[in-house]
Order: sequence, then C-alpha cells, then structure tokens
Amino acid sequence: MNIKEQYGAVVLELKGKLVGGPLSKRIEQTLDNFITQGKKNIVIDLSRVTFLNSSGMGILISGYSKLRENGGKLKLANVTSKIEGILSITKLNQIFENYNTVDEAIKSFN
Amino acid sequence: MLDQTKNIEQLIEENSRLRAAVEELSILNDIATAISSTQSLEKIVDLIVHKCVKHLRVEQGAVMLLNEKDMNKPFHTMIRKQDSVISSLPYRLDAQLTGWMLKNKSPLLVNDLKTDGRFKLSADEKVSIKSLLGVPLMLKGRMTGIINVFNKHDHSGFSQNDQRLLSIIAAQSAQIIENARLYIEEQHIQEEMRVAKNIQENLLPKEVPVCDEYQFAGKSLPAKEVGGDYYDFISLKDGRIAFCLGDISGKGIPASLLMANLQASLRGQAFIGNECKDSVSFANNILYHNTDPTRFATLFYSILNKGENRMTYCNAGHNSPYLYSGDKQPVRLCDGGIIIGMLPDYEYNEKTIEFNIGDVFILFSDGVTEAMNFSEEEYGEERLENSIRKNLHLSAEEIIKEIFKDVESFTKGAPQSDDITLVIVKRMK
Repeated sequence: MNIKEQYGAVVLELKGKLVGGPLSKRIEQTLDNFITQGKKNIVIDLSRVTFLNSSGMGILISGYSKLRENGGKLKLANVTSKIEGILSITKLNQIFENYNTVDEAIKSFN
Repeated sequence: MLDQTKNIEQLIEENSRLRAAVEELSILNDIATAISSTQSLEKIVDLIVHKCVKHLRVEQGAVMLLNEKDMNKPFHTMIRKQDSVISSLPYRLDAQLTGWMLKNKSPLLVNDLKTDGRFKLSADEKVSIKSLLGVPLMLKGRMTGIINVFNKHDHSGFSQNDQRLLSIIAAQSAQIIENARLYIEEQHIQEEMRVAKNIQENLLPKEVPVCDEYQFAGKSLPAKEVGGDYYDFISLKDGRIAFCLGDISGKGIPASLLMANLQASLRGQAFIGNECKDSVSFANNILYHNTDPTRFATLFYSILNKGENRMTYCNAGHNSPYLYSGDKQPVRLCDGGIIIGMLPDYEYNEKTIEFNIGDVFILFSDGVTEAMNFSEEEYGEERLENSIRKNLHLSAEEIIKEIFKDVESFTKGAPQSDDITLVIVKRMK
C-alpha cells in the first residue's frame, strides 16, 4: 500500500488482491489515523488491484461508512473493468464516486 | 599394582555409568514407542504414569493437567496409578504441591516430607507420603501440567538421576499430551460443526410449493460445512408465493449466523404480508444495525402472484437473475438497489414483470458463475446461459440438476471456494 497526500486529499494506492486479512486491518488503521488528523478526503487508487472478493468489498464499504460518519468522503479511482462489474452488480456504483484518474478524483474534492 | 586397582575401579564405575545410561535410554525408548502407537489422551497419560511407576520404582504416580479456564481449581488429575494401596493425597497437601508448581514451574524433589520446610502439614494429617518427585509439563514456556511420583521404594529416596529422567520424560510427553488434547478439542469442534450444518440445512425449505401452474425448485451447496447462501419459498396468506436468494459476505460460521438472522427477518416480513421493497428495506436496516460495516448481503426477493401471473421483485445488489421467454434473449432482472447492510434507510425500488406460459426464471448466487477449475478459469455467465438454454424444456428441478452437473464437469473436482445456490421457477400453464 502506497500513501501520498496531494492538494489536501490522501491517496491510498492498493496493490494485488483485495481479499481481507492483514491488509484490511492496515487500511482500517490508516483511515482511522487520517480521520483523527482531520484528513477526511480520501481517494483509493485501485489500478493495481487484480482481484476483489466480498471481504475486499467489505474493506471499501467500511472505509466509506466510517468517513461518511465523520463528515468525510471516500472516492475511487482507476477501477478496473472486473471491479467495475462487481460495483455494477452490487449497485455500489450508485454510492461510490468513481473517477478515471487519481487527479480527477482529487480535483472533485475542491 | 595400585594403578591397576585404580584402573579397574574406574572401569567398573564407567561400566555402571554406561549401564545406567543404556537403561535410561531404553526406558525413554520404551515410553516413546508405547505412546506413539496410541492417540487417545487417556491411554497416553495412563501409559506415561504406568511406565514412570515401573521404571522409577515408586509406589504411586500421577499426571495432572492444567485447566486454564478455571484458576480456582487449576488442575485436574488425569490419571493416578499406584502399585500398592496407600491413601490418596490429603487435599491440603495436594493444593500446596500444585500451588508450589504453579509458582516455581521447576522440578520438585522431596525425600522427607515431614521435615521439608516448604510444606506445612497439620499434626492430625496422616500422610503416608514420604518422598515425592514432581516435574512440570512445559510447552513453549507455558505450563500445561505436572507429572508426580510418590514414595521411592529404595529407602535412599529420589536421586538427581531420577529427577533428570523424569524431566526428560516430561519434556517428551508434554507435546504428545498436548497433541492428544488438541485432537479431542478438534473432535468437539467438528461435532459442533456437524450440528450447525444440520441446523442450517433445516432452515432451508424442505419442500417447495406445489401447484399445477408453476414448478419451483431450489438447491444450495455450501463450500464449507455451513455457508452464507440461503434461499426460501414462503406461501403468503393471500395465496401469493414469496421466494428469495441471499448471499451473506464471507463464509463459514459468521456468515451462517447472519444467514439465520436474515432468514428470520424476511420470514417475519412475509408473514405480515409486506411488499417486496419494504421487506428488503427492513432486512437492510436489521443487517445494518446488527453488524459492522464489513458484513453485508446481496439479496433478491420477489413475490409471485399466481392468479395474475405477475412477479414483483427487488434486487438488492444480487447477480441479475434471468427470465427466459421462448427463443428471445433472456431478460435480466436488476431493479432494486444496493446490497443490504451498508446504508441505513436506503430506499429500494421494485419492479413487476409478466410471467408467460413456458417462461423460466433462474436465480443464482455468484458461487455458480465464479466456480473455478484448476486453471483458475471461472465458469462464467456464458457457460451458465448455454447450460440453461440447452435444458429449458426440462422441469425446474431437472434444470437445476443439469446446471449443477455442468458446473461440476467444468470444475473437475477443483476445490469449491464459494457456496453454490440456484432457484428456478417455471410456468407450466
């Protein structure tokens, strides 16, 4: 997981398979830390995520809910077609704002 | 001459040391061979005690295992064996010994109990124990029990060699006893899983509604003993029939618990005759409030009005089912809303469709389309559609059988990673 901050937004770049396990704990902790620091504009870059199962989806949903409760927002960028398919079946595309690039996602916060 | 005598003495001493070492090795070998051929915890402990009593030439031996769940009564005596009738240890002494062991976690050698300052015996206590040797059973720095032997036959009492030998026996035995203990625990867990599986199977409908106009069929094959997929057919009071398929995120026990919860909520909704979207909204709020946000479910819920041959449905983030009507391209039923358990008070939609004679409705869980073969290829929707098309002329139950067969012949025995569930409704006339 790579983390960078750009123009007041935090970008988390996830890699590999998003299937729960230790990675989900790390993401959860990272988001908690940023929320405590008052950084509540988060972009998750999924360009390098090759696979997402229901636990992986749980990570995104939990992140989304947590930020929403704290007055922030979680947005997605670079969603691959496979993940796009899952978001469309689960209708989560109605919930998650989804951008073609990280830059577009960051700009959307302003 | 003097040198020769000295040499002979040395030789004799060396010889007896060697003999003792060989005897020790043969004792250890005897124990190792005996316990390696058995799996039952009781038999293993019994053998260890039996061999200790025999080889250390003592009156009595006991193995006590630590019960970490109850520190008020931390030890339970597993096996106590004696070769002559002596009274058992008075309670107070027993407690003192185990207390000492818990505190010190090191071997304890006592050759005259009455004069040993570490233990207090009241004057009226008749203790027939004179000498004792105890060593802790240690596993990765954790004490799991004690081996005690009492009253050495030889009047000189226990020696350092005895202590060393018993320590080696304890070190050898600790892991084996622990393995046997874990084995028993695993058996208990497996038994509980069998019971859970049985309970869950009973939650699924045992029979489907039967009528002349429609055929109903459903089948679920969990990936583990218990699963997160569930389907249901519920006859409503007004003659309509509700049916659904839910897929709880995750697998195993956690998913199956939520599945039972979801089933109960929806049955309740059906019982009071709520409409599709209201029932789904209700289930959404229940699941949202009962779980953390990483838990959710996809749900397809619908109500069939047989009289009007119309079906109203609400698809909450579930794989879109098919409605096959003649030779036309199948219609995908996707109206409804997001997966349930994520956003409270979300407003779901519902849609009503016509059900014509010969129409076949196929509802499936993602375990069907995501079933994988050994090359990690997915079964996919295209194969599913081909299989459905080929079997449309069959009965609802036969179509399910054929699709399961097709998935099976595709995966060729590759491990099933997700629950596989199908529900089919076919209008006959």
